[in-house]
Amino acid sequence: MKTKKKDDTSAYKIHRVKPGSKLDKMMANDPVLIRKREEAIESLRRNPPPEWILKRMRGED
Amino acid sequence: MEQEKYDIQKEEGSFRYWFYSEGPKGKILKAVQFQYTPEWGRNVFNLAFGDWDESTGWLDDRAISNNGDHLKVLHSVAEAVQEFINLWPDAIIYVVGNTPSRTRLYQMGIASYWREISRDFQIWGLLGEEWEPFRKGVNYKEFLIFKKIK
Repeated sequence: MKTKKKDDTSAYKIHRVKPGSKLDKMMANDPVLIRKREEAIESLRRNPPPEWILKRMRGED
Repeated sequence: MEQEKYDIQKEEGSFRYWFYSEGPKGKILKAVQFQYTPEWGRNVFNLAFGDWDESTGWLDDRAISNNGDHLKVLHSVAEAVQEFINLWPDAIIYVVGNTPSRTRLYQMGIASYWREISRDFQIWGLLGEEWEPFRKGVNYKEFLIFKKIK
């Protein structure tokens, strides 16, 4: 795994987002994320996967 | 053969991964976000991927970088998926591109990475209105990725 620790690069420090911070709140309102989430919910409603996968999704397997 | 990919960084306390695409257009920050989608169950996450716009703090999933490294980028996204599922072994990740061509790119990435990921992961594709196990050379509309039960 090549994930870097937080003090490995300045890049990490620039892009680190603290929970509850202004940037974190901006991301919560990200229109792309909101749209993609709605699309995923609608698409899975239209074409649900097999029941055994649905059970895994719900944690019932 | 080991696939070429970028070093990815996970953001602490979130479901986000970052990496830089490097090519003729310079360094472009990419983000992979796994969105929790409990409407479909406690294990469901939706994958969002795109360029990171630092001015807005938002993803841009419609950006076309043309940075000459699309396979390396796709392998890096696949690496983020693997790392995420290793952290959340019950996760089922829903993947779809924002355009048919972007979805085909994801498909290329899965196909080229297939030998490595098929050992540990199941991938299902939506063909027409039916889901089926992923087969190379078939054009799927959407994907579900999850860890194999061994």
